[in-house]
Amino acid sequence: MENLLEIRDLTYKKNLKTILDNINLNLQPGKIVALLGENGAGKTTLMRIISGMAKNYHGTVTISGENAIAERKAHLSFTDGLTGFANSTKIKEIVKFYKIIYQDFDQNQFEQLRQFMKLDSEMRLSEMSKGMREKLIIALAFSRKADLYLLDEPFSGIDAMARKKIINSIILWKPENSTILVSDHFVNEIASMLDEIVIIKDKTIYTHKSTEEIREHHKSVEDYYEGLYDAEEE
Amino acid sequence: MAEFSRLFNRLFKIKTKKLHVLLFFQIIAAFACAFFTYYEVINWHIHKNPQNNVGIIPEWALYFVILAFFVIFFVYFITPLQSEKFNRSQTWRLAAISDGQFYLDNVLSTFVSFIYFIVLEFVTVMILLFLSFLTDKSVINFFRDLLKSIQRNLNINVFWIILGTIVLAILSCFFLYFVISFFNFASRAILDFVPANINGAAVKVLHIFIIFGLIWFLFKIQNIFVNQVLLSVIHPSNYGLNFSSSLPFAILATAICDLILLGSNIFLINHFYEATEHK
Repeated sequence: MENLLEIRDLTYKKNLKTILDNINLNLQPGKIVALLGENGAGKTTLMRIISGMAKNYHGTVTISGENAIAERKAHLSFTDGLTGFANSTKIKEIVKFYKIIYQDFDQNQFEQLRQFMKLDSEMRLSEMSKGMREKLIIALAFSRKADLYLLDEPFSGIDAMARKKIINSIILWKPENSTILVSDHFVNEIASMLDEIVIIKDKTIYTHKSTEEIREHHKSVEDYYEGLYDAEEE
Repeated sequence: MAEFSRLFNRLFKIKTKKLHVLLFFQIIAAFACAFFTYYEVINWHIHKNPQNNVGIIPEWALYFVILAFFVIFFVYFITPLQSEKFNRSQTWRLAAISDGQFYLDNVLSTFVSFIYFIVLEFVTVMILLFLSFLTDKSVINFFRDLLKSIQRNLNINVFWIILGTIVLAILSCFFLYFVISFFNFASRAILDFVPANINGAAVKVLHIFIIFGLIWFLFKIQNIFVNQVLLSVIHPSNYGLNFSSSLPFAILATAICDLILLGSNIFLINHFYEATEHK
């Protein structure tokens, strides 16, 4: 099967410090992949490079065979923090922005997700808690019909109950052939929906395994992930 | 192209939203000035100022024009600074368009919103003048004399000078936008190569030093380029032209500087200037 995302020999330095070194990664269509690693491992940076937000890297990144940044951006949906909007902006105004800027934005899908997340269209960003804001970000991201969804720690501020509901529903929201790359600290909670895990360690891809392969060795994803760091400490 | 125009419309709407509010306040402020010139308050009673022999509406128009000079200059300098926020914003830069095109969209929408604001100012002045015509005959006489004087002095040379000045003003407007972006993009790009162990306050000081360094660098380059390269090739005196005819030279020199800066900015935003999630 042709790869949806291909990263070749990617190295990224900032402020004379190597953040990512010699990253090679292939993701196939239709997968849900966790991007794991410690704080500062470079997960967000990798997503920013894929989405064309980070610059001056060496190597190549292609999404659906497209290398040009404009094409890559057209194929992906990235959970943006919405910091480009004033705090007085209402949800309905943000939706209007998405509708105009993104051709693949589906307003009906957004309405369903908004109701699921219990968000009021008249609500302003300044009136929202961290969790509500993150729910909105997820709803906006999944209202686009993209090939690749980049979810950068999307659940960190959401309460446990809602988080569980969202995680269980994500598989229903994504188009069949789309791939999700999600970075998160709650490995155990997202484990059930994952097809693969990618771990960034020592500035590079330390491992890329299918969850099936991990479970074949009678290990949970969480145990496997924690085991990597326990072994290092010992 | 469709992405370009959709993004342009959105940016234009956002940029003009605040300009409408500014115009509204300008109209109110001009009216308040006119009111307190036309009337005076003595012992908490309002009386018509006996020294004032102009009507309140012509007074309003006059104050509006005076304020317009300040407001237009304010908008001229503030809008390019605001547009740099869009260049830095991840929310906006995620739009499916190349970074160079996004930059062009942002600059053009800033320029068009500025022109739109000038048009709004002009229309408001015209409305106030029309109202003045209806209420004050001395205004009609004043403008009749003014038109006659313009007609007497109007010739083809004046027309070309006016046209050339407008073109130069437009190019200078873009020059300001491009210079501000260049300082922003280049200084941020240089900061990305500063060692990571330098703390936040030192980075801010360094940022200022880099901007001053870039101003010095640009000034030197401009001196060499305009005075030694351009002037040696297309100096007006080489063609026997006097000072008033140096306008085409100024237009050409500004246009070339604009193109060089535009090219540099597109290169910087495509390859170095990163979008962030910070406000």
